[in-house]
Amino acid sequence: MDIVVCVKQSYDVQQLKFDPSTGEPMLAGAPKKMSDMDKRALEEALKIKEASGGKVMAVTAGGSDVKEVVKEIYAMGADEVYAVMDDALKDADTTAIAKVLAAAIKKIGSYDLILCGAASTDGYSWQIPAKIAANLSIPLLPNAVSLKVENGKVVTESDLGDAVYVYSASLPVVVSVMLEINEPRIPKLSAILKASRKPFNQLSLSDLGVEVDAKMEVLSARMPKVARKNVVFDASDAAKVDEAISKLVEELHKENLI
Amino acid sequence: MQRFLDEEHRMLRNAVREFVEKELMPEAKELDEKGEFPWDVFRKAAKLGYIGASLPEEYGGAGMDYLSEAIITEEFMRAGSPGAVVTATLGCIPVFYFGTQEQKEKYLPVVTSGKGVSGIAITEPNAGSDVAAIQTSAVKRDGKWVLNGSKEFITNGNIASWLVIAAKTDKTAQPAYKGISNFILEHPTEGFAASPISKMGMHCSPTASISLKDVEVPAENLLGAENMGFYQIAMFFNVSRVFTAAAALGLAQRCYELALDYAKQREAFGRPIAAFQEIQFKLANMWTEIQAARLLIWHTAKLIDMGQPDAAFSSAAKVYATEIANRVAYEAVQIHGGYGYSKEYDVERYYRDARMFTIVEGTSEIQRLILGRFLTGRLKF
Repeated sequence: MDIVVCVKQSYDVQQLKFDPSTGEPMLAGAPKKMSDMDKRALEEALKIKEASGGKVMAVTAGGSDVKEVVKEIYAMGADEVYAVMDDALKDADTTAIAKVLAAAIKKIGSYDLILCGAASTDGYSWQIPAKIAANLSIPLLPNAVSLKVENGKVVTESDLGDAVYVYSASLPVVVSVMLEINEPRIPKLSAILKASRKPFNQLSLSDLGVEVDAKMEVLSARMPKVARKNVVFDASDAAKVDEAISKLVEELHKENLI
Repeated sequence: MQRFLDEEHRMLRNAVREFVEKELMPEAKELDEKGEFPWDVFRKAAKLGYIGASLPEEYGGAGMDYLSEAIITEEFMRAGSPGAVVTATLGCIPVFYFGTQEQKEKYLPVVTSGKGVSGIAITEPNAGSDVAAIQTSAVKRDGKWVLNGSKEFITNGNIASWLVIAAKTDKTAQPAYKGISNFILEHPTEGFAASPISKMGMHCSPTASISLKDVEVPAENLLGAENMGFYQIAMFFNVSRVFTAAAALGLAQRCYELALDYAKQREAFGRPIAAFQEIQFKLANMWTEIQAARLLIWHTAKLIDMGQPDAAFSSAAKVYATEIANRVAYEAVQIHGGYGYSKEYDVERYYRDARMFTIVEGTSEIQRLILGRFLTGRLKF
C-alpha cells in the first residue's frame, strides 16, 4: 500500500517568546519542529507499513526552512520525502497550501492512503485535511484516534468532540489524525545519520503547475492574557465561613464552572 | 546556541532531549530516591544508539563524533543522577584507543548493545590524583596476570560487566609512572569483590570500593603494551574530562531552567520574584556561565574530533563547567528559598549531584595545576 503523509514544519510554540511591550510572538529565529499531529500521522503510516508492507512517502511545503524537517521525516523511517519549497508559501493560506500539497501528491503518482495531522501545532486551523480531500475528490475521515486498514477499507474511530464516531471508507481516502492515536517513535541514532544521505526531492510551484496567489493577512497575533477577577470571599472568622461558601458557589455557577 | 550546530547534531540533540523528557524526567525523582542504576532506561538508550555513539558501527556504536557524545551527555544529565546511564562507556574509551581487535570486538559491544556497563578503576585509598603512587600489583604467573590490591570510588565498580584496572607491573620503575599497566577484568572473577559506597548525591550512579585478592587475568587481557598504562590513563582523561564537564553542564542547564520557571511563578511583595533585579542578575550570571561552559566543552570535543586532543582545554572545560554547575545549583536553590532546601523540589537533588563534579576525574585543584604547568611551562611542583 502506498501511503502519503503530509507534514508541516511548524513553530515550536512551547519555546515561542513574546515581545513584552506589544505581546506579539517573536518569530524571527524562533525554533521550529515537526507539527505534533503530523508526527503521529507519520508514525501511523510507518506502523501500517511495518505490519502489512508498502511504501511511506511524505510531502511538506514551505520556505527554505523545511529542509530540516525532511531529515527528521527520513530519520523516523519514511522511504521518500518530497519538499515543495518556495518563498511564496511562507505566508500562504490553508487553501493555497492544500492546493500545493494535493498537486504534489498527484505528481508523486499512486497513493492509497493519505494521512495528515488534524491540525498544525502553530496555525491550528483544522482546515488542511478537508481541503486536500476536496482537491483530490476523495473522502476524508477526520480526527482519527484509531485507524485500521482491512480489505481495501479504512476504519477509523473519529473524535468529533460530541462523540467518537466509527467511520469506514474505501481506499483511496484522506485520514486526519489526533494526538491520541499513538506515541511517535524517537529515531535511532543510526537513522539520524542515514537521513543526511537520503535524497532531497525538491519540487517547485512551476513543477506542479500551481500558482499561489491567495495570501493570508495576519491582522493580529497576541499572547493570550488571562485576566484575574480577584474576587475575595471573606472567611476570616468562623461565623463568615457559611456565607463565604455560598457566595463562592454562586460565583462558580455564574461562570458556568460547576 | 543550538544555531551553532549543524542539522545532524541539532536532530541528535532534539531526539535525545525527547527521549530523556519522556523516559527519564518523569521518573527521575523516584529513581534518585531508590538509588539504583536505571537499567531499563539504559537498555532503551542503547537500543536507540545513544550509548557509545562515538564508537565505530562495527562495535555497535553509531560512528559519530565526540561533539555528539558531549551533547548526549549534557542532555542525559539534565535529568540529574539517573542520566548517569551514559557512564556505561567509561571503560570503552581506553579499550577503543589501546585495545587489540579481539578486545574491542569482545568488550565494546557488551556496552553498546545494552547488555552491561563498563568502568575504569584507577583511584586507590591512598592514591587519587597521584596516579603513579598506586599500590595494586600485577604479577605474571603461569602465563597469567595475578592482581592484588584495592580500588576506591570506582564508578560502576559493583555493577560493571568488565572493568579496566590500573596496576603496577614494575615496582622498581623510575620514575614510578613508567611501571603501570592496564588490564581488562571481567566480572565476576574469583577474588574480585566490590561494595557500594553511600554518597551525598548522584545516587543512580553506583560508586564502589573494590578489593582484588589473587585475581587471575588472562595474558591477552593486558591493554596495549606493558608499562604504558600511565600514558593510556592520561589519554583517557583528555577525553573523559570533556564528558565530565558536559555532565555537569547538563545539571547546570536544568537548574537554570528550574530557577527561571520558579522565579516567574513565585510572587513576593505583589509581583513575581523574577521582576526583582537581584533575581534577574542571578539568572543573567547563571545563563552566561552556562553558555560559556558549553562553548568551551564543544570546542574541546571538536579538538578531539580533529585528532588534536588538548589536555589544557580538557582541564579548562572540566574545571570551569563543574565549578559553574555548583554556582548555578547554589543560586537555583537560593532562588527557590526554603522550597529549594526541601526534597519536594528538584533543585535539592541537583545541588547534591553537582557537588561531586569538582572532585571526580581530577579535582578542580589538579585541573588548575595541569593548566598552571601548561601555561607557565613549569613542570616541577
